[in-house]
Amino acid sequence: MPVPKLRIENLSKNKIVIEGKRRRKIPVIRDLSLEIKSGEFVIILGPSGAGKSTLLRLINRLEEPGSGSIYLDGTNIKELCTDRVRRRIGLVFQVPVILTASVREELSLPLKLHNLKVESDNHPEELLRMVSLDTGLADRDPTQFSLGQKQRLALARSLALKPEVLLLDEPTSALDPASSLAIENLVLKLNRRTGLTILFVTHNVEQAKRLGKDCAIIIDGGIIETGKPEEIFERTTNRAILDYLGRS
Amino acid sequence: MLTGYYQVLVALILIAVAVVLSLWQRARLEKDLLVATVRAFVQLVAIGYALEFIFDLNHPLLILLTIVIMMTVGAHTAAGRVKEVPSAFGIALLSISLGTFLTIGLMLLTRIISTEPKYVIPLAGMTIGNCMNAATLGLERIHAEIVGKKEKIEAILALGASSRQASLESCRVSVRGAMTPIVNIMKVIGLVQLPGAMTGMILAGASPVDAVRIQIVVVYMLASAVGIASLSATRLSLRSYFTKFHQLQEAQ
Repeated sequence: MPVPKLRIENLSKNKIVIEGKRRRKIPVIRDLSLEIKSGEFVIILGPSGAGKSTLLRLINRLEEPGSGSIYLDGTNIKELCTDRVRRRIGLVFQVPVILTASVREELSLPLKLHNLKVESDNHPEELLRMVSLDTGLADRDPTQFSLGQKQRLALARSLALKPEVLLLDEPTSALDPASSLAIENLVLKLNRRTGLTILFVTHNVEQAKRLGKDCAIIIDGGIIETGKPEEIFERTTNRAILDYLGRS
Repeated sequence: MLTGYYQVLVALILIAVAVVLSLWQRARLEKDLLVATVRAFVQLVAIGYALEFIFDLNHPLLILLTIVIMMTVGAHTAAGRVKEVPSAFGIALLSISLGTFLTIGLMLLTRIISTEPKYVIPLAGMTIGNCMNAATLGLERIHAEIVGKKEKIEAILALGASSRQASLESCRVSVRGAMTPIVNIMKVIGLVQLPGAMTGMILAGASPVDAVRIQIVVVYMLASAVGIASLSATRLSLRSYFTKFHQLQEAQ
């Protein structure tokens, strides 16, 4: 049996909540386990505050879990250098953050950080083509872009490092319907053409149905069901999922 | 002696003017002004006698102890201004010490200043005061930068950058902010203000040219000390904001 690309084992994470002068720990991820095969596209679906973003932050190692482990190609990510983990596992945030004053700089920044050379498949123009942005934008100031363009650029920036896994944290929640659809089609195409393993986080049930890929429903920090979105929504009798779908 | 305190009594009239102005404008500063007046008098008279004792004894350990006490008070004051920065006292003490010892040490080694306490202590005091301000400004700024630019810093970290790479711009901005006062002073020195050391020497009867020569040395020394203190304060504070795995500390 092939080693899964990502294996998440009994992951738990508490967060500190500050209430006035008191600090309180609340669980955000509870004993979560999940396996993702190489080249798979998995949707992580759940309501706000379910722990979806925290799960991605733990996989990218922006945070440390309280307990449990994450394996990349069978190796615990704690045994790898942090920069190596983040190079192999890209993360695109909900709201795109622009880091430089030109598109070209933005796309060469990840390579500079790792002292890597530009190659034929990650030079700025090629990356722009991959995310369906006009190559004529290469010398423009990205702070002037629309939110949809900025999100595509953030996606291209992550792709510059040629990651093996791409984590997308609600990448369309700040976008208009047309831009959302465009991003959905773009990441589906990327997965199909390049075999990139993708974890797509969303709270949007309709979006999960549209993407139509394998889905893990996360509620209160734990995975409740897995399968194709339509099938789960049809067969489920789980009270938490029915509440989330507004069918209780 | 009597003449000296007679001058102080006359100067008190000026404080009375400030108190009257505060009462007239209802600024409610009278109490603070009176407390500050008494504190300034007591502190300065006490330090006057203490310095006379230290100067007369002229013992290196006593000079060092005096400087260490001054640095501790400076670090305590700086840390009080930046309570939100974790381990602020330790960071301020270390950066003030580095700024002070490196510059004063170089001045002593190159024999630009004598080892006599009457030279070392006032110069150390001036250096510590400036390093204290630099550490405070640097720490205030780096805290604002890291808290205010959390999303940007995490976006860089997520690309595999080290915490040093991710905070480089914030550190630059903080050091620039902490060094601005001394750079501004150097730009207008002699044009807008006559600095303390020079004024003191002229009042004490030294020739203006001699006073200027010392002042140039002092201001260059202060610029160097402030640079060292602000850079070390911002760099050292990064350990409080990032984990060893290049993650932002969760409380930030």
